[in-house]
Amino acid sequence: MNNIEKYVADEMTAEERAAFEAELERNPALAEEVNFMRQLTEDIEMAALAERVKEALHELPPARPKWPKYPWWPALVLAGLLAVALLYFQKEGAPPPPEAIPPVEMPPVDPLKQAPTKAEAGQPSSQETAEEKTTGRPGGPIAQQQPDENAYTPIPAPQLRGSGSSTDTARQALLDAVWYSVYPPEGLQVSEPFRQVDELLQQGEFSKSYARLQLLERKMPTNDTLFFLKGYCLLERGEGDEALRYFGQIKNQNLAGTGLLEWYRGLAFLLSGDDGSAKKTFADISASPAHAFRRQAKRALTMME
Amino acid sequence: MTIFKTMTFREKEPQGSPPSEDFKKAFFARLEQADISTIRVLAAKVAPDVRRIAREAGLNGQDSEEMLNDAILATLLAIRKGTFQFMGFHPAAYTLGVAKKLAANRARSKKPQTELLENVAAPSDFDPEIYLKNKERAYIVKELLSRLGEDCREVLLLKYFEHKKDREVVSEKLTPYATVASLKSKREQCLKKLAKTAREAGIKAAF
Repeated sequence: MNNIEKYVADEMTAEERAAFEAELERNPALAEEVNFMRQLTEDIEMAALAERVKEALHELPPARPKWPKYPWWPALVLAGLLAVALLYFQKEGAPPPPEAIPPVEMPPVDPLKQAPTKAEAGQPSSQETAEEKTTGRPGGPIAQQQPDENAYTPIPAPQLRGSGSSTDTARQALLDAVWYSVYPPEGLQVSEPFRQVDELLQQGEFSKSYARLQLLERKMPTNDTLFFLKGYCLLERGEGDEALRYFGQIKNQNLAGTGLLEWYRGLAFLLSGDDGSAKKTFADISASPAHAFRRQAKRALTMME
Repeated sequence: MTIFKTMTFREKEPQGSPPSEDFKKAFFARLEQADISTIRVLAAKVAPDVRRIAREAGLNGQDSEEMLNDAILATLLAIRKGTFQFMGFHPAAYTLGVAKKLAANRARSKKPQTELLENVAAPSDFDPEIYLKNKERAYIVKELLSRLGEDCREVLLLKYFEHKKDREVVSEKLTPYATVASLKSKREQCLKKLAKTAREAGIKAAF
């Protein structure tokens, strides 16, 4: 086998090669085995390359839908007829169409995206503040703590792709208003292979972190930390669906502190436009009195209503 | 905060004027290394044309995306095997040629005659039938690799995909194996195991 591998990998010296090729001529079974191995190693390369291409294309913008090649005038005539009918029925006393729902007034958003204030985020009670005094670090669940600039920096909501339409603008405003994410989260134990990623994430370098995680994924077995970090990077880059895919693979749901993952899932649903699942997630969080992100979830629900 | 802002090919392709020879050479070299951001740049460049070719061949949206995937994969394979060498033109031209051949091949299976390849300078070394057979086998091997375990997958990919030298793998501590001998021994075991499972999976005839 060693000789076959050496031959296939073109690692033999000229003498070794000549001797081996002479042996191949004498031994058809060996020649067949060499062909098999050569093909197998080429298949390994193709399989890995296919994965790489799939990964690259995954983030390619999808094809724009083409307008069907039908004549446009029938649609125009139909629209005109509908407009005339609408006007006619309105004059005849038909009930007016329901009024458009007034837009939800969003609170002004600080462009620098400060973390929620104590009042907004449900900050620690006097008892928790006492804990802060004794331990020297913020007490209580992470989401309800007074943001400490030395401990972590609040991260602004990602920019939605394709923003421009009124729907996108409204969603972006909603995201800006409810977004609450921190790095590093309490409770996340980052092991040695992830140190560099950890540093990059602390600098808010999500794309570089993601690229580094991709490399790590090829070199080490996947684990919950890898899934969490990849999901988190994607979340901060505005990739809700992809983030959910990775969060869904995490076995230890308390990996990054109680409830953080559930909160991030809610944000990911919101990013991906799945309002139903986002509402359900936030409602579940709100219904849990001990949940660290209960107040953020309530606030998000209010905003969504 | 989108991927395209931060993960694109480092050197921007010159706008308005044709890319320089140096740019194309660097681009080609990065494709050979299967650099993901470079693959994405190539994909973005050829995607509209490949989708148009697919549409003209009567393929649906899903088939069209598969064809884009195949055209890029075949280009990378040809670069890595040396059947497509840098001759001063952009790799996108080769990819489009492959796409046209693939489309003609797909269309041929639906219609008895096609004029899709008329006046098309398609890469002469690319045979869609062979490519599709190889792809099918590679898919099976990918499944088998994942069953072998991460350790094996890693040592095999470092050698046969990354083309890393054993000394590099050991010195850069890319695997838990501290010596070249232990790395080789592990890889030999893994390759044997893969060959065995491949035969057991009944794909011997395909090799």
